[in-house]
Amino acid sequence: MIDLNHVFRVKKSNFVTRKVDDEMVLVPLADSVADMTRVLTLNETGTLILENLDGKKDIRQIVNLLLKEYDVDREELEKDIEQFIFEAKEKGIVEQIP
Amino acid sequence: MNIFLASLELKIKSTAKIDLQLTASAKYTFPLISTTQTYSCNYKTSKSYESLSNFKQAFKGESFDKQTMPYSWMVYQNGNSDIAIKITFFNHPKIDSATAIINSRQKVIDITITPHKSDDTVTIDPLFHPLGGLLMVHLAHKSGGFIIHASGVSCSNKGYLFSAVSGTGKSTMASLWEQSGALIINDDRLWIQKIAERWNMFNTPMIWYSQKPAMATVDKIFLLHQSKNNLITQIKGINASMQVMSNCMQHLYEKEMTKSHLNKVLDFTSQIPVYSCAFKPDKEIVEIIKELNE
Repeated sequence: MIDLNHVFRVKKSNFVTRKVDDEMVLVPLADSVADMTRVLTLNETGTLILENLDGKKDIRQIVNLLLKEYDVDREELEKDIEQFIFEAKEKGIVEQIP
Repeated sequence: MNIFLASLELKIKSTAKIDLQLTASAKYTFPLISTTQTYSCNYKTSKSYESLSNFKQAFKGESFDKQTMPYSWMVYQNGNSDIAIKITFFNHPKIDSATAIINSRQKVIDITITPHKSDDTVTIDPLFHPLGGLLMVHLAHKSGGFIIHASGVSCSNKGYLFSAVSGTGKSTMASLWEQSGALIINDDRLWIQKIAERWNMFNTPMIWYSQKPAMATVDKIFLLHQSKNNLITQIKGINASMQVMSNCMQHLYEKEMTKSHLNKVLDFTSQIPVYSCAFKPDKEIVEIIKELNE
């Protein structure tokens, strides 16, 4: 379970990232070697979430930011962001700030 | 002797124990465009393996393809941005191993071949398999290009690139175009290089046949799928770029290398439209593709 007060940041050393328009690509690195079989792409919303996982804002602040951008239900958005962060954590993209 | 690959020149020299004979690379002895970089390539034989004690292993691969002799290869690097490529043959009739040490700053490549019998003279094409291919992946990267699994044709001043994994119709597509009078750049592998702000495709010496060097601009990129019906759909955005990237030969063992490769492929796919192309193997697909220009 992810707490709304938790703060996360992108583990930049594990990836090469590039933003193209509103989308993002992440190429995972294992000991500096690119793993081209696990390249990830993010759509506009995913990119916006990831860009805000800056090690400063907590999840609640990011939810509030996204609510300004998208006309969605708060509860649903919280669930979606939790799911996004859960998966990003599993894939080693983000880490929680203690 | 000199060999020209895209905008590179390789000045080839060898010692007495090596008889370098141009076979696959026989026609690559003149440049198609002006040379931007020249590498000195020095070939020698040695009884013992080249010491790579200052190097660290970075990347590796192997091939047990029934059509070629089985081998494994490793890329090594040291702290001075030198690269070593070592190939070990499992049952080559004449050679046990080959090592190429590439000094990128001085543009020197020292190639050491270890023959089975130490006093044998080795007769070989300087870009023998798989050294030629492995060197090309590195040299293309270092000169701002990349290598892609793709066939390419040029027809009425338009260049079409057809990319796919093995066995999905790259050479079938190329031969359909040849029957319609187009020039085949290559039916399997292309060296992609940006020249005067436009991306071009070049052929390179292949294992199985000798071809004349050829180049063309890339005007359209097609990702091939076999199908009972012809269907072409333009695909956009980052997913299109990543589908193209997945067909590139990618030996990326440094963060900067990965960044630079990603930037090149994204530039390539932003400049040139990418299409998903399901096709059945007859001439109709050639006409459908030509009509995309109208």
